[in-house]
Amino acid sequence: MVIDALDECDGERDVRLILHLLAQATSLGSVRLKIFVTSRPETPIQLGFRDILNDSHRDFALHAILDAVVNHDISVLLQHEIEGTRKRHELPDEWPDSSNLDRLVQKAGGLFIYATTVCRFIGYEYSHPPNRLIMVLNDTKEYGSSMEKLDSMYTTLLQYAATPKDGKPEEEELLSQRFRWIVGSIVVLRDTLTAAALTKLLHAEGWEVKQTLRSLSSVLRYRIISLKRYTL
Amino acid sequence: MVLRRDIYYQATDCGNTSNSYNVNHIKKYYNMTGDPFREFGILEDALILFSLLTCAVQAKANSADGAAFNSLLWQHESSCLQNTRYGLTIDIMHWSGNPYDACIFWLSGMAGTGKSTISRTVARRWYDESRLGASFFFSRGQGDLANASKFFSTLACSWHTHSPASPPPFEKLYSTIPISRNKAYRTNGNSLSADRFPRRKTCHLN
Repeated sequence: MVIDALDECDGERDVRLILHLLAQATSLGSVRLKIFVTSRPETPIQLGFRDILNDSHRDFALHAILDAVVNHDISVLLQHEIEGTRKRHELPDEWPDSSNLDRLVQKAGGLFIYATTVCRFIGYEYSHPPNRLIMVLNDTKEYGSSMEKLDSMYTTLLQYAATPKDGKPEEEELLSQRFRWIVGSIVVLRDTLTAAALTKLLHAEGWEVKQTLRSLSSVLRYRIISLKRYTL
Repeated sequence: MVLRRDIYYQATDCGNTSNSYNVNHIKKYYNMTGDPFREFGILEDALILFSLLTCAVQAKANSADGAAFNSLLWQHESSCLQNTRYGLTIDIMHWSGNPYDACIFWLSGMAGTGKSTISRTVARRWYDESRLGASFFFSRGQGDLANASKFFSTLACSWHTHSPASPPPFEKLYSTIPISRNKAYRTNGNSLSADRFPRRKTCHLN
């Protein structure tokens, strides 16, 4: 069995109960269950594992992996994504040069989420990827903590989405107001909403919502289940 | 059986929301069929945690949509690329193949370090090897995927669907209930196709 993101389960008591019950699987005589669990190293989960028998679980922390190994994996991921972008946008083989790729790896600071988000941003279909790569690389947070780098990456992306560089000044104010209104509402939503529901709730026009969110495709998950739902 | 019932009641208590209904339903089923586990001998162990937790009807009605790794909700999420996470994947596969090793492998990591991608990779691999009993991907802000109320019933349902060792009485009950339609396109047609479960007329997807 695979159980992902146990930390995203509400209720500390329930989380501990789940672990307690899963650990009972060791007592099964005829079938040997193997249960793969992932989570952030949060206190209720650590306590939950402390409660159950040591023999019943094996723990592995991702931060125990050497930086060099993680950076290698991130570099493979970046190369793979960028190759896709290069083909889609018919860019020359020599783009991007390897020193820029290395800088991206350094900037990611071990976070895969950084690499995938940046690649989505760079490869956005209506953009010129080399320009976007330069934007990301010009972002000055080269040596901060991973979280600082991530913050700064999101800031770059959001700034760009809020006020596209090619807009006229009078349009810019309008666009950024609309951005605060629509994206701000999504940020404070507790649950996902369909596009139609969000539009209705805000008394907005469908095209306004669509247009505003289109530029956010690298950070906003736009899911098509049966209806369209927005989550950040 | 005392201990087992105890485990079962704890599990149905998990999440609280719909569980008084769960418990009553099970009691009713239990009374109706007598002790359904009596006849299975060694198989009963396998059923304790999962199939026993909620009876089949309840489990199916109470499954959380989108919990499984291959559900529609996650269809655009990727697995690990080849040649990445190499050492870790080998570790996990060794652990899963070793019956004497711990039953739980806990992978912890900060936000954004790629835990879910690894989960998907493991789930996909076990699924391809027909070894995956169930998967549950918690997700904050996603209704039933953000709490424990449907956790065990979802596992029970999925466990039953994937497991060759499903108990016969449940088989009968299952045949009357349509299977979840929320699986990703990618696995449609091969995981739940009619020829794999010929007796379940309601298994056709979409």
